[in-house]
Amino acid sequence: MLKSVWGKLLRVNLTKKEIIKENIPEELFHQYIGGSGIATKYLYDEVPSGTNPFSEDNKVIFATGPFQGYVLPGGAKWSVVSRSPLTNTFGVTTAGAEWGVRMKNAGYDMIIIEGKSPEPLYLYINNDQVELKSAKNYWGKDAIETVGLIKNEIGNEKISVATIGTAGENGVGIGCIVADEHSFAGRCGFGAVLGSKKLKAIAISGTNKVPLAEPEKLKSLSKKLFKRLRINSEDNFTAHGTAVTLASCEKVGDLPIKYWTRSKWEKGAEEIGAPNFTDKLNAKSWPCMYCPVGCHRHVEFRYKGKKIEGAGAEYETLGMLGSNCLINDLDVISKANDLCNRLGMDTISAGSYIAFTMECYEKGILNQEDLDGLKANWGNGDYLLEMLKQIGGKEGFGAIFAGGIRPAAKKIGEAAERLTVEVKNLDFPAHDPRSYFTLAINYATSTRGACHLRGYPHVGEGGTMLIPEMGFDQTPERFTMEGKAEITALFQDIAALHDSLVICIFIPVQGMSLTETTKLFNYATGLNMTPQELMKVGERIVNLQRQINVEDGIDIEDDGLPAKMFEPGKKGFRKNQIPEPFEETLLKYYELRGWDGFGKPTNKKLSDLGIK
Amino acid sequence: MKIKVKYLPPFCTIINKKDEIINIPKNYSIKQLLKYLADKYGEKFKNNIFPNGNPNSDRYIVNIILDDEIINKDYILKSEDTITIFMTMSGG
Repeated sequence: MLKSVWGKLLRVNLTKKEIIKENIPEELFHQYIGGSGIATKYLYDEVPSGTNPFSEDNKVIFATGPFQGYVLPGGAKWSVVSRSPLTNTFGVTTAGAEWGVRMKNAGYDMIIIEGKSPEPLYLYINNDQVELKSAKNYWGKDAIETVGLIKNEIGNEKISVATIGTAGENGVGIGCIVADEHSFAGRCGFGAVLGSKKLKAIAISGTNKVPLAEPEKLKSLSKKLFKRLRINSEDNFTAHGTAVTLASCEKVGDLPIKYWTRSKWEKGAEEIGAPNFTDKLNAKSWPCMYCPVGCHRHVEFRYKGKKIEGAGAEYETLGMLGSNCLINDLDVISKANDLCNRLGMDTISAGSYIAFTMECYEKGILNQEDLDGLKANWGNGDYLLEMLKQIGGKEGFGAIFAGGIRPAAKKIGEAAERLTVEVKNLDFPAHDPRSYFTLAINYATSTRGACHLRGYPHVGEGGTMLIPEMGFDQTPERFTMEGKAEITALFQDIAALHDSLVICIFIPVQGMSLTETTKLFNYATGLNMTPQELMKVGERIVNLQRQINVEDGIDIEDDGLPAKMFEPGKKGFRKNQIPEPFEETLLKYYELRGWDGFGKPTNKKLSDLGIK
Repeated sequence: MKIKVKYLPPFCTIINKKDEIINIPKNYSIKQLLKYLADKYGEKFKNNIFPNGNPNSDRYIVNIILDDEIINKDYILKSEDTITIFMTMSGG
């Protein structure tokens, strides 16, 4: 077995209450590395296409990779792969904090959750000792409280807990997984899938030392990277979190404003972004384990006289619950963020739903009566908070969003359907493809629906990150689709690689090259791969995920963009800009990928990549 | 000649000012201006302008906008120009 992985998985069958330890064949690590790569392979092999995400046959796969379990910058990440109740196909999400490190140190590369329990349970892992325990006392508790309660029951403050909130228990499609109170496996609704299985949480204590091939070389390079990344981050992400980019994003028309209908909101962006964010909320860094960047925030503020503290809003949350709803009150946004954290609910989609109803209300598609007496006018913080409670509680009008925005809009009517901003029923994150044209192709083709992390080509398009090892060595021209298919594919492949290692995106973005990533990988595993060979693994993973999409019936018809993306901005940086020619570029992307004209990987491509 | 420079985060917090009027010689490029500002405001500023803080890099990790358009390093500044400096990094 190669080093830095155990070659072991835990299979937990909730129906049979059976826990089995299995070996993972070594060749799978060579082909798929770990993390979301290897988890994708298991999902493909074990869960048939078309499986209902809430059925007993769906599985939730937690996975670490060769970068977990020891000191390595950004190595606290972990992946979750399952079938998403929003997209009804492959889904993936990642999170940080400490949980992934503990899982790896417990001696496992993966945990596969299968079956369904009739009563609430949680899984407790303490190295070799693994047991299912009753979660009856925690069912109905919020996600933040649950972490503390489980630690209390186990009697060990140092264990790490990943849990769902009540949104997941209620089967709300945007229910997420909350780790250690400040990291969120947010998208794709896996909290709801765990809720359907009645698994409330996984608590882990792990103390095993991960074997490394060349520990001294690894330590030396890690140390050098820690120093560089700390310097590169200290005055931006470490000082202010991702709120530091809010004004910049507004400046280039990237920030969602008024449910994607406006291109400027300068004063509002200044009000909710850093440094106001830092000052008003007493925001301080709350880093994931082994992180030199420390972008997560701990905030402390008062809302209506009551003190609130905990994980602070990130850029995505400020964009989706703030600017997207024209809410410029940081206390309201932070209260809403806290509410989502406790409910265990993805703030991106939650903000999208709220803004969507505000636009429907403005246009007369929804009225006060439809909304149980609420007024959904733009900027209304009380409406935001009340509707979030309804969505998470699957009650009142908010219950309409249990299956996502697409079925909700369908229920409201045709006029509402024309307003939604999503791909494959996954709402856009807070980045606008009319600013970064690569995102048009990326959102359309991302294997989990509209996503800025399974592919982050905008980071390349904007000039933050180059990949000279792959020939991408200069910042491309903006506002043209020329070359954007190539950049999109490249950044999707590298994202799949990073999610398989598993490493946080902020590490390469803040200054770690692909060559250095490769060196870390080789020192850890004992393999001798090149950057290009690792990127080939990324390409294999993207293709396997796409193959799952295709076997679920997805093709070019599903790879479209919402109508709003072809309405240009009226002011500012992206005035008069739309990502055209879209379809021609999409077909070029397919060709580049070795997919047919319907967006399906060809047999030759699958064979070349060793998938089939 | 005089130009106005506006600073978005993190630059405004590093130098503790949101904008300033700067006197520059004629035929002064953005490249020269960034070098001048990096020298004037020191390491922290420099670390947020150049990749890995390397002032010899031909690349920047900032955008400079003039009249809602990104201008490149070779742009020759004109009297009364108002430019805004901010991070290229987008969101999180």
